[in-house]
Amino acid sequence: MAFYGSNAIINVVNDITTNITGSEFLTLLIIVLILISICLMFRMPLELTIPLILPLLIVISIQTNEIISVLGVALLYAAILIAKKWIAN
Amino acid sequence: MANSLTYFLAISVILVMLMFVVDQAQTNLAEDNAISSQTKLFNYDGSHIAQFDTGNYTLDEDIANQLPTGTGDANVDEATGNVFTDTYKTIKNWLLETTGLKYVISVLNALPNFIKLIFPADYTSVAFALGYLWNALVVFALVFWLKGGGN
Repeated sequence: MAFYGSNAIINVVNDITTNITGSEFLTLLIIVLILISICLMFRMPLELTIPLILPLLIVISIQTNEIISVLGVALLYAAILIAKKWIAN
Repeated sequence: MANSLTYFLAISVILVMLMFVVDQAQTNLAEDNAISSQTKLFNYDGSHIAQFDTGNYTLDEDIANQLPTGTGDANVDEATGNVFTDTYKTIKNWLLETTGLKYVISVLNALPNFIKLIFPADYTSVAFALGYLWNALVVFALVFWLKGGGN
């Protein structure tokens, strides 16, 4: 990656997103699918995956322009969830 | 409390808050990691949350200072208008500025800009269509709310 080598958080994210499959998008997809499967396995609501997926997307989208659309959709999903649960229910 | 306008307003305000927090987080992380070409997610200066800022991201302790300060200026044209159009203009400007309706509506600008951000250049027509859906629904909700209907 272009920004490798300065600090811990970005390095960890770069490691897990490039060294596992070679493609950070594929790795991100696999992580999201695993989280959703765990949620389904324990019969938890799927929206509980958002607090786990959002930080990952935030860190990755700092240096990757392409992922910002996915971050936007996740943010919109979180906003709709918060509005539904606490404000306009 | 749960009518359509409240729902639209709630989503817009929460979205502005989330984007601000995410943008702060990304800026801090980019500084820590010496990333110069950070993707800019949020335009703070033109946003609704900037109106509440008294400097260095602090809130005003008196919430009454956040009330809109519109003067309700009639803004009529004496040369061309007549008593009916001038009266209409005065009423409309009073409703928009003095009662703070304009202030409320400006919150709703958040989502069309946000949609424009998340769709790349090839998909601007999709962003336009979704933005149209949002704007039209908000206007309908506003009209029904002014008319007195709940939903």
